[in-house]
Amino acid sequence: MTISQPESEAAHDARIAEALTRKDRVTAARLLVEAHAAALGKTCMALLGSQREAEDALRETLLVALSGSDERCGDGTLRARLLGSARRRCALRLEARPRSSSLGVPGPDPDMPFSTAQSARSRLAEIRPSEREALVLRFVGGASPTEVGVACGIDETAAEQRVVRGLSRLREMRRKEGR
Amino acid sequence: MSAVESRVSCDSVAQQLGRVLDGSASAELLAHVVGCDACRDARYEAERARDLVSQAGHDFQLPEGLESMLAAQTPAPSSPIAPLTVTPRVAGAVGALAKRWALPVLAAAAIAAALFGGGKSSGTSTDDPELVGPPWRGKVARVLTRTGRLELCAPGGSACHEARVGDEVPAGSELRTDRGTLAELAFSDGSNVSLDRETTLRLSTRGRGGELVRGAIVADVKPQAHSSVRFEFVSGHLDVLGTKFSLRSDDESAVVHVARGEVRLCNRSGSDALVLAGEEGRVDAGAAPVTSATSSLGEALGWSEAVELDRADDEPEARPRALGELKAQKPGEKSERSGAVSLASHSVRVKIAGSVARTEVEELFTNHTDDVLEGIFRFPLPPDAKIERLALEVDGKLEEGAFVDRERASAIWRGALVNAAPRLRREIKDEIVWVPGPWRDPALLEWQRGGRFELRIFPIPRRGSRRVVLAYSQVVKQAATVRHYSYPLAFDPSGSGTPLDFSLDVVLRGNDPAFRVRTPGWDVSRQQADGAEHLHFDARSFVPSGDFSLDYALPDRDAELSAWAYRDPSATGDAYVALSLRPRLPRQREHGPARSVALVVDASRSVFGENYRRATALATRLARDLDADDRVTVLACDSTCREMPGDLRRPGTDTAREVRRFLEQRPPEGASDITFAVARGFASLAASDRSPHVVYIGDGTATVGPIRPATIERAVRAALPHGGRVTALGIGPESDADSLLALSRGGGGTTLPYVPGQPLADVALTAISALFGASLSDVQLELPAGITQLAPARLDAITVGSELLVTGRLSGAQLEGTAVLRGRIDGRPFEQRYPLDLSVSDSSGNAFVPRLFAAARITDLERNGSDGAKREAVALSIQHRVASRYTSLLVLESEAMYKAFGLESARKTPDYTADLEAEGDSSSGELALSDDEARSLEKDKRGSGTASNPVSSELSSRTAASPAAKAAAPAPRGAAAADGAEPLARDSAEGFRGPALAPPPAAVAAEPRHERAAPEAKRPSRVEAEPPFEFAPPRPRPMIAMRRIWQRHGEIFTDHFVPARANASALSDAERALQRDDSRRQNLKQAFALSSAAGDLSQAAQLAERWVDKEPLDPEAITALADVEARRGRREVAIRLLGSVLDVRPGDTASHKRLARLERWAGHAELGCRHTIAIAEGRSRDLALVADAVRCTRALGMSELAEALLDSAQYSERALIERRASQTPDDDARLSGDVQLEARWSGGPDLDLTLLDTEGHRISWLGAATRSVISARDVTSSTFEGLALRGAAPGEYVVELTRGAGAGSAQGELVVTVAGSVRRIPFAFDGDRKAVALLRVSMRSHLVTL
Repeated sequence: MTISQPESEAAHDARIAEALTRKDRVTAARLLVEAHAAALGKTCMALLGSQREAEDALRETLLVALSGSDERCGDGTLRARLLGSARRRCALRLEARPRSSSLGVPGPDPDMPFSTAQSARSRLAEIRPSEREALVLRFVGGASPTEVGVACGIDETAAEQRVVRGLSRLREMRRKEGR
Repeated sequence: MSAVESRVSCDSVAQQLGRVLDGSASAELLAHVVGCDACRDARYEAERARDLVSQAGHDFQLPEGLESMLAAQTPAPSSPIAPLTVTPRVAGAVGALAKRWALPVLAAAAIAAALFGGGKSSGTSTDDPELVGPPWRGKVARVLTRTGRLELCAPGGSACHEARVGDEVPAGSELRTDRGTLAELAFSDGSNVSLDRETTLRLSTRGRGGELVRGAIVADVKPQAHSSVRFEFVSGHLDVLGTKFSLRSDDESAVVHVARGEVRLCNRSGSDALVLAGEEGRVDAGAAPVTSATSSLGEALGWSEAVELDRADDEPEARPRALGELKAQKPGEKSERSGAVSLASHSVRVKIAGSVARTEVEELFTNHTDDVLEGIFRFPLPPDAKIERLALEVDGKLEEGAFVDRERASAIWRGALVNAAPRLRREIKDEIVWVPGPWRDPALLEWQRGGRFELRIFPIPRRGSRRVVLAYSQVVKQAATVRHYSYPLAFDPSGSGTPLDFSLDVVLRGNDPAFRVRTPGWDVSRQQADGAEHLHFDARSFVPSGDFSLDYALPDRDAELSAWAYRDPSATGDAYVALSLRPRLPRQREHGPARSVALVVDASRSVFGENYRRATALATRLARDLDADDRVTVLACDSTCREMPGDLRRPGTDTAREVRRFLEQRPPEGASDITFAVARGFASLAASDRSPHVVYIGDGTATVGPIRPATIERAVRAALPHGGRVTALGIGPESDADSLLALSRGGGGTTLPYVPGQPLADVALTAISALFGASLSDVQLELPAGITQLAPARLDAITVGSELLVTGRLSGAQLEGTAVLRGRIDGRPFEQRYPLDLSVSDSSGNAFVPRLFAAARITDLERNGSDGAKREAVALSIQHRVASRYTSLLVLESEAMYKAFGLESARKTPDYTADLEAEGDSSSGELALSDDEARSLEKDKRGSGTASNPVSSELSSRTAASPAAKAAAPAPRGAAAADGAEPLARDSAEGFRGPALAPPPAAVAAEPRHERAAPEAKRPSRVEAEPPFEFAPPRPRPMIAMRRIWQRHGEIFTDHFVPARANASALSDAERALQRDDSRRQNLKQAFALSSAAGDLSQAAQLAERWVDKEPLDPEAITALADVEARRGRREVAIRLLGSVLDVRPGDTASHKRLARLERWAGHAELGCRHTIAIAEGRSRDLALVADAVRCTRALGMSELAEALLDSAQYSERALIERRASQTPDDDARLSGDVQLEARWSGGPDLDLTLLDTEGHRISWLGAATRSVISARDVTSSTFEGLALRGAAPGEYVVELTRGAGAGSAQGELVVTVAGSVRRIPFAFDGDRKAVALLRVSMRSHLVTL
């Protein structure tokens, strides 16, 4: 199954591509930020749990997109590629953390007050990294199953299975908590 | 709706819950949900879960000014500057983000301000009238302090207040830090100035610069046309010419160290001197400025890195575990326990006499468990530290350890543990001697890798403690005029940061009392007693956070040569002599030659994790801090290299970012071929007309290509272009110092080994210093007659400021004459002479000299590696109590046990205690050659054709240089004289006297005593239980002798592809076992194997990733991931991962052969050959392997390597190797075996044939961890491939086609032959993989007549 992007989004992405083609990076940057920065930033935040690191990952993702230097761009929509790029950058940061927190547990951000978002992240931290990524890309990044597959480098069915397994684990967790 | 339909639909809902949630599921499914209570509940719960997930990023705040920042940071030559004028918004609103991102914007704004005439001077003071341009104004960028503060005062020192980050710093401000505060100022022109502790800086109001009233600064000044920068201080001033430098000033003097660019240093009288990058300048009150090359850039500038705003990594540097990690295990268990044993107290006693320090460490280990444990303490030591003592407390008394041959000590140790783990008795055939009394209380200290040691203590009683003492000695290095002792303390003593009792005592003798002893950051008590300075520090509940360092100076600190001699008054024989040489090398040219630098970063699996991050950070800093006139590129190398795309870049912040980005996108994987990496580094610089430099950054552990130091050196030399130079930087405590040294020797450069606890900034700056600085190559040292057996046997290049230690034996009681140092600097000859008048002393203050000799000699012998060298090294180690790779320090419980093992003679108390100052001689040299003479000598040498080899170095004494010795010696500095492979016989040929070998360790019966000790009489006798056939009573009928033979039987299925062992039930069991205990490796492995065989690649991939995540250096885990990647159609990734297996298990010949074969089959003949070379180097006694390597190197034109391989073999074996190398190798591309697969297809893609067994192995032409023999042909063809397996184990195999390369679909036919059964299977292929058959191999027996 393929879910096509809304016309306006596809057109927006086309304008970005056009701006990049004519090397108008100022316009490209503006369009890119308008259309994708918020979702990408939230995705990074959900994966990393740190405003500062999420900003860095977002900035790197957008810079790579603007410079056209991401060799793994491959197929898929612009959103899928951006989310894939952001996912890799977040994974690198998680890997760079101490072992105690690198197994997918988003690092604490001492500057952040306890919030619903933090609560959500702490639950997400308890499920497998691959499933967490799929859930975040899908429900925070707004990616379709196909786009999740592209972003994670797996096929669409496997991506959907990860989402389903992740949801099941969260349901199970909530059941145990008596909710 | 029937029950079955309902269940099917509910299952479908569960499988497509994600689509159900967003409404993209089929209408039928959605309709089912509406009518099904269970599914509605499931949807409701899933919606709640989805809502929860969607909140996870809700608190992210999109940074303001993001578009502008992106535009500013993206290279856009056509972009207007206008969008960059967002500085106020960035600086005001975005806060922390702006601070990290604003630099390019600020820089651009500064440029714009300069262009449009902004920032006019508001000069209000009587500052230096020569300063022109706008004054510095900016902000406080960073303040690092715990309890102190940065004070900001108005011009004139009035109206002071505490400054915080972000506060404006107006022109003319005065800034003061206290003893606990570091700060950094960022100025509007892009310049940064860091203030050290206890510093006062007054900014100028009339231009850029200021007055350093006291303390130290590090300034990184942005050059601007028509705007100079000047810093005043008490004894003069300096003019900055666009640079990075440190300046330290007090009432009497000022010292400047230049890392980049240059400065002009002036005194109050107007005398000046230019200080270039890599140099230090000093101006004392009333004296003219002096300059010299420096090796202490790291020390002078390193502190500022802690506060620097524009750090490329923007992350705190992870401090290495300088003193190691502590683990424990129960005897008989394989797994180590973390946190079971902790370090309860730690006391350090340091005695320094002149330039030699002896450090004694006493540690108390406490066991927190109810088990008797074996404690394992792994710790790195500085490269030059030599362990000399290990003692363990037994019944309140310290038992001294003995140096013992490593293998023997290990056997004795394991024998000791047998008592504690009885079930090991049958498995271990080690030396066990039964002595009276219970066996307990041993300790073993042995060298591991690089500078890493391991101490094992047994038993540590339950809830009890053990005390251990170890000691090491070292020569304290001198930087500039100061000696710097450091005790590493940045460690995690128990893995949990448990505080411990800590004390430190230092006794310092022989120092210059006029130079105040400094212990920066440590509040120690001091007193003078017995002619020595005593320092003391004591703390309870102490958590170490930084190294203890001590700076002192010697009275003869300006001397270039110091010498000591010693003869043991209680022994006969030669005396020993040691010479420490710090030659004052002439300055390099006014402006160094422009260089192109390739940063070759080791990206192989062995640097996974912290080491790779450190290598990346180091490369990033070098890319930022190299001179602006240089050009730089970076390569990430494993067995192949990937170069950063684009041209060579100008060093700077932007390039540093690119380098970091490039390296971060290439996580470490694969094997390591360090000589290939260096060659590729030079190749990347080939198009440049600059002087080529390669900086290798890695652990130096070679697993592909040449792996022995001697061969590495020759391979690098063969690849060295004209004027090329290699600098090797060690990363990680397990880095291979010998390989790194071989790289730099071959490349005529220097090695900076990994030093535990050394901050990254220091390493980077020291590396830059080594790159900038002059170095003396082709070093020769001629010594007066009487010295023999010099060690080291060969001298490496001497970089400016470094110290060279030469030792030897001395036959007389006096050494008198002249030491002559010769070499070449930048191709120009250099010669310096030092008068020597040294008398042999028997004072115990000089007793360290024999140990220095032994240590140097042992290092030579370790590089040699032959059996004879090993014997000599063991003897020296035992005789002089110096640790070596071939010996361990063993503590036994009682005198009786030492006697039982014949070790009593190896056990004695240390000779040297550093309680007395050494007696010696020192002198300074004179340049023996004027420039004219040097040129003349050069001309003569060229004319006579005796110019020395550009990279070889020689050490000679007059004895060695006698005509007879010269006649006896082979080509003086030829390739055959390479140190590592040089046979010991060369010593005698050159007139050196061989050392008096100590008697070999007393032989002990090798017969395993435990067999004798076992009560044999009680064992059931096999003879009694089962009488052999021939003793049976004869039968009346004649018997026919038959033999049972086993034959393979094969079945081929195409209707199902899942092996019976991987059925759903087995999968569920494996999943449940994993859920019960996911810490067990076996559970993970089993779940992976079954998922893989069942075709659930997604699940198998997850499990493999999880496995690798848990055990990143587990070869089986990496192989599992490689198999998954290959099945995903990512063959190149899979091959790289298989290379990683080699990197984590370098001695694995089977894996090497696998890689060699697959690279050869894949058409990568050179890479395959480099694997073959590594195999031959690792098993040099297997002549067939050496012959294979010689054959392939010759076939590929790598004749230098072929010769090196032959040279490493014994002379008598060379002819045999040559003969075998000339034979045609066996054809291993012919299919043979009971299982054969042959596929033909059309359509274009390169398909790979694969067999999957139920153990989780993927058998293809990429190989497999199987005992069966694999053969394959046409592996990269796009129309045909064959795969065969000889000796296939019984079981089921899935036959799978995977996409190796290429796109598109294919149609064809697969012919499967299994033990005589043949089947033709047509197939159509359009994905990444396709299962086409299931094979079952079974063994059936038959009886046949004999």
